[in-house]
This record gives sequence, C-alpha cells and structure tokens, in this order.
Amino acid sequence: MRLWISTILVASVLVASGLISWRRGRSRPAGSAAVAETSPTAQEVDELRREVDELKLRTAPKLVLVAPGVNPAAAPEQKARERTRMTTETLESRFAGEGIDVDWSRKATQDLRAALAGRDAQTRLTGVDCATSLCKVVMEHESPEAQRELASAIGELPPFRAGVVYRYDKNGEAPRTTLYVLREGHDFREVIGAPNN
Amino acid sequence: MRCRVVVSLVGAFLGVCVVGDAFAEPHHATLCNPIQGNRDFIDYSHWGVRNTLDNAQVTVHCGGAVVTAPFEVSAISVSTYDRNTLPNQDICCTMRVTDNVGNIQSSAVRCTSGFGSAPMPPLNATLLNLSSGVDVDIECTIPPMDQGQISWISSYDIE
Repeated sequence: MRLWISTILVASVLVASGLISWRRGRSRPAGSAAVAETSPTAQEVDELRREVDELKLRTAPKLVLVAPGVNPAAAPEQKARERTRMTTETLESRFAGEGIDVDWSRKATQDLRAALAGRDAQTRLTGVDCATSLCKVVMEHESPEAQRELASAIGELPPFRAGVVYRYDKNGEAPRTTLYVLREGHDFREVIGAPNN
Repeated sequence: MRCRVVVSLVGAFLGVCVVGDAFAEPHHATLCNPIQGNRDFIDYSHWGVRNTLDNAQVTVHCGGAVVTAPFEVSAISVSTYDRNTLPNQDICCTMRVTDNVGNIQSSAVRCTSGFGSAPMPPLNATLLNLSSGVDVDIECTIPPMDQGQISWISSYDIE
C-alpha cells in the first residue's frame, strides 16, 4: 500500500513539473529556447550592471560648486590665464636652469641686440640674456600699438628665425614683451618637455 | 565575453591610431591668398599655388586653426617644389601661431635649401600656444620661374 502511495506521489510530481515546464515553454517568445541555453549567468549580469553604473558615473554632468559672488563664466578664462602662467613658468625655469654655452651665448646676445637696435623709437630694450638653447629678451613699449607693431616685425629677423615665444605683459606701467628665443637646431617640444609625436 | 574581447581590441587599435596620428590637419595650398599687389601674379591648380612671374617673388598667406589643445606644441609642415636654381631664391615661410585677436604667440621661419624637380623636404616647425583660442598664419614667399621651371607650394599641415 505504502509502495503504491509513494509511486503515485512521485508520478504526480513528475507530471506536475512536466506540465509547468511545458507552460513556461509556451509562454516564451519563439527562439527563446536557444537564448535560454546561452543566457548570462548571475555573475555576468552583475558584472554588466557594475559596468553600466560606472559608465553612468563617467558620463554624468559634473556638479560644479560655485562660491557666492563668483561668476561661473569667468572660470574658463581664469583657467586659461593659469595655463599661460604655467607654460611661461616652464620656459622661465628651463631658461634659468640651463647652463651657459659661453661662446654661443655671447654671440647670440650681440646678434639679438644688433637686430633690435634702433628699430622702434617707442620700444626700449631692457634685457638680453642667452643660456644654451634659449635666449630671453625683455622690452618695454610706450604704447600697446608699439608693442603690437614690434611683435609682427621681428619674427623674420635672422636671430629670431629658429623660433620665438612672445609673452605680453600689459598690467605694468608700460606694456612689456618678453621673448623666449630658440637656438638654431632646438625645438619647443624639447624645451617644454612635450612628447614627440 | 567574446564580444567584450573584440570591443577591447577595437578600442586598443583606435587608441594606437589616435596616438600615432596626433590629428594633423592637411590643407591644400589653393586655400592660400596673395598679399595686396601680388594678386595678378599667382595661379592655382591641383598642384597648389605658384608664382607666374619670372623676375620677382610673390607672397601668400595660408591660414588655419590649431588642432591640438590650447597650450600645447603645434607642429606645422609645408610641402613645396622649389625649382629656382639661384641661391637666394628659395621658398621661405614665416609660421605664426596667434591668439583669437591676432596677437602673435609664437613664430618661426623655415626656408627650402637648394632646388630640384622633386618635392623638397617639408618645411617643419613646432610652435607653442600660450592662448586658448588659437589660429595659424603661414606667410610664404615663392621665387620666380627659372628657365620656365615653376616653384609651388602644394599643401600645408597643422597639428
């Protein structure tokens, strides 16, 4: 008797589970049987979720906190000024840290002075120094116009042909221009330590 | 999993391409413009821009925008044909990086040396940007024709 009851119970369970499987199979869209076989594991689903969360974080607009009284539109301009300052500081420290190639330095200084002498009555040469790969030339101008004119006139003069960087300082009493002049055969990539492409 | 590997490989390939190419922006020299007074003495074709005179040089300006981020080094390259055999008659280019209102930030001059029927080695210079809005002006002189041989600027690249 017990044997009969157990047999009936087992058979019922098998029939019920068969029916359930059959109903699930019918309720799936066509072709999903193949998908079910290759569906991702729970671990893969979790990994994908984590990746989606990371991407959401990366692409989300960043919250910028602005102190009261600060114009947010001025931030890029301030950043630009900061970058200009950093780049010129790099040039300045490179110039200051270079040893002096005495022979070249003396000749380059003379050439630069000669090239600039008497070019513009409104501009005064206040300093010329040369190290090994760079020279630094400082000039003061009577007006912003004189500053602009000189910059466009000197680039083609022989001592400036290798390369020049112009730094304009308009905040002092007189407009001032600082030139960082490259020695022939040198390169701004090397001077500021930028990688070669 | 296989898909992810493929995506990574494609990404790595693109990354290598980007690093290697550094976004050089090529320009055909027909984009160059003559200075005042030289308008009647230049000619354009698929070869670029040339001097039509046989007794005087002409000057053109070639413009563009810097492709690299501001405050970085820009590489400029000009491709030329210099067929003038005279020693002081070369193609010379003054390359300038300016801010967005025309103040010169950095400049350099490069000239061809010698002559020949083949393209000359490119005139290359690296300039430094100190500003956030940056343009490029390349001012080139082209020597006159020499025994019927024409000198050209064919193209320029700005990185």
